[in-house]
Amino acid sequence: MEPEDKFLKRVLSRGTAAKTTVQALEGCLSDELFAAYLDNLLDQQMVRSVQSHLFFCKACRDKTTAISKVKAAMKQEPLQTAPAKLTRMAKDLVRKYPLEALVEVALEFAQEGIAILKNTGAALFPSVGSGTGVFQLELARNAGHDEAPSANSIANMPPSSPQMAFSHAKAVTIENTFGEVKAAVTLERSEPGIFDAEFRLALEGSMTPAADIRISVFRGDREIASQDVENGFASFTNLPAGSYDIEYVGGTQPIGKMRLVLTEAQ
Amino acid sequence: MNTERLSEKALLAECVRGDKKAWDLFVEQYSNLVYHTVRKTLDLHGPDYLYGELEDLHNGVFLSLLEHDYKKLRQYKGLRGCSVATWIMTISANYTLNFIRGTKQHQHESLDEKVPETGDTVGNGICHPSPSALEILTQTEESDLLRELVDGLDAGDRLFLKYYYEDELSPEEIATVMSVTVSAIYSKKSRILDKLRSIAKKKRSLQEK
Repeated sequence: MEPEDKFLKRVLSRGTAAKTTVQALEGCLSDELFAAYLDNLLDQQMVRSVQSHLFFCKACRDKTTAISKVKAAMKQEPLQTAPAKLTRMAKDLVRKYPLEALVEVALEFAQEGIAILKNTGAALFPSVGSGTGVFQLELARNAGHDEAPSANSIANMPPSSPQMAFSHAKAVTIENTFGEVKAAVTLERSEPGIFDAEFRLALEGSMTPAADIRISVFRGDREIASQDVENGFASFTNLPAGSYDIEYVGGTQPIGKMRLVLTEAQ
Repeated sequence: MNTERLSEKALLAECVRGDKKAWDLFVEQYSNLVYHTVRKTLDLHGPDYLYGELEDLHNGVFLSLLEHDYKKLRQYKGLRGCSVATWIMTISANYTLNFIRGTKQHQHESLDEKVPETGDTVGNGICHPSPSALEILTQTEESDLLRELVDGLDAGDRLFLKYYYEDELSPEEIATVMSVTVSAIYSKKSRILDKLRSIAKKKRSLQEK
């Protein structure tokens, strides 16, 4: 090994950054820039920018090395065929026929209680926060309403009605019936902007837990979680604030859907 | 809509619009490529026990395209004629590499000892005793010499320095990653060493004056 070789090895193998005036791209390379670089599609100026970035960024450099090896290895053999099951699963990530929501509930959680922005469901039951012992249904932004309305009156409340709230409530339970199944979902804020949903499903008019039902949670067209109901129970935790479609599937057939909007008061 | 006749970019646009037929066609077209890429990446960079994750990784790649309201699919621009296939291959390999890295980190977290941090500038290493002029430089001289060398090189040569001396890739590996011939790598190296010699010589003659 020549002295110059030894010098460069010694200095650079320490993994230390050379002080230099060289300018590089800010931020790491996008997948597409990576792909275009590895495919020799960039002009000289872009190549220089990418290479200057790679000089400084060990993570991107490692990525380029690893991916170019994969690419070279893939060229050596014909494309492998994915099992049909995998292709089908990937296709199923987007659903064919969106089911109409039968129930829509929009809730706004705050430190001091829960506001109902919309509810087309059958009932709402607030749960009391520990230590408070008392809760009441009240108008959130409409003073002068002395008498607390019943949960059913909220359920039937038209969308244009004033906002209402369960003060001191920590959780809300919504009940609905889909065919022969009665579903109760309890929604609770575990921390600001994060919610837990607990489902209890029973056969209508009895305490018998519903069987052979799967609950899927969608955001937009995408299923983000799914669970088989066991002993009439299923739960989903750490749901960020947002709009969700909850789909109940009995056997292979969808039996109901609820649109749920969970927000955090500003 | 006749999805069979759509261009690659138009197909992606239809997928983003939520067209189920377009998505099915997209999956049909790229499922094998994703599968092959994930498999090869595991072959080359992953431990054997991760083969059980192949199915999840295949699904995970497609899911990553849909996440955050099709964010990734929306990002594809066809930069300089970059094909969807090349882009998907890069995404698949990258997704798998991240998974492998995550698994390894998780496994070694408890075993790793914290390595004391080293300095962050060139030239603070201790030289081994050696008769060579380049090996009896002070830290500042080393730093100056390297800076002058690096500043005088083009981007490709600088990157070669990193690949060869820091990452310790072989000339063959560097040729692959830089899409050049192996002989081009050797001549690059010899050019850089010549340059270093000439900078060192110039500095020495200045010191002697």
